[in-house]
Amino acid sequence: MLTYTADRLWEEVVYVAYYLHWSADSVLDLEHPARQRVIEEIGRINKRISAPDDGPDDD
Amino acid sequence: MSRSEQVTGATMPTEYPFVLPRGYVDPQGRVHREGLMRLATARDEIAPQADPKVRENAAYLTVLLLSRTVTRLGDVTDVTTHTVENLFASDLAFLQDLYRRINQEGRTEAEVTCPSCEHLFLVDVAGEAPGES
Repeated sequence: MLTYTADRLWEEVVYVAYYLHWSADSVLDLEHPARQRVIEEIGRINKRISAPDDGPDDD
Repeated sequence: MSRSEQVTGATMPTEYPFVLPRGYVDPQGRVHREGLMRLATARDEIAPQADPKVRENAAYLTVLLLSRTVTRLGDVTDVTTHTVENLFASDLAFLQDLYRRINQEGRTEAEVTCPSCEHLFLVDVAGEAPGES
C-alpha cells in the first residue's frame, strides 16, 4: 500500500533538508503533496540559477 | 513553530471525510461508519518499515499505515492497530483505495464511464461524507 519506496522517500527528504537547511525531522512530517511542491520549487530555483539569461520560469 | 509547520500547517493536517461501506463494530456492538483520514507523510511510510511485525508479515504495513492516518471512526478518536484489524475486509479494501487516491492522485473522485451511453463522469468514492454534497 506504500505510495513511495523508502529509498525514494529518503532521497526526497535529504534533498529538501540539504537545499533549505531544514531538519530532516521537519521534512519527514511534510504531507506528500507539500513535500512534492517544495521539491518542484527548489528545482525551479536551481534552473533559474543555472540559466539566468532565460528569464523568469513561467511554468 | 518550525519552518515546515509554517509551510504545511502541520498543526492542521489535511483531512478527508469518508463513509465506510459496512462500518466498524466496536466491542459494545455500536457501528461507526463516518470517519476522517489525514494525508500521509514520509514519516508515516518510513517508520512502520522498521516494525518487527512488518518484517515478519509485509501485509501488516497496511494496518500500521491506516492506524496512523485514520484519525476518527464515528465516535472512536483513538484509532489503533486493533481497531483496523477488526474492520471488515471490504472496509479495509475501501480505506486502502482511499489512502492511495488522496496521497497519489490528490482527490477522492474516480472517473467512471456509463455502460449504456458511454458518458464519462466523476464519482466521489469517499461516499456521502459529512459536509460534502
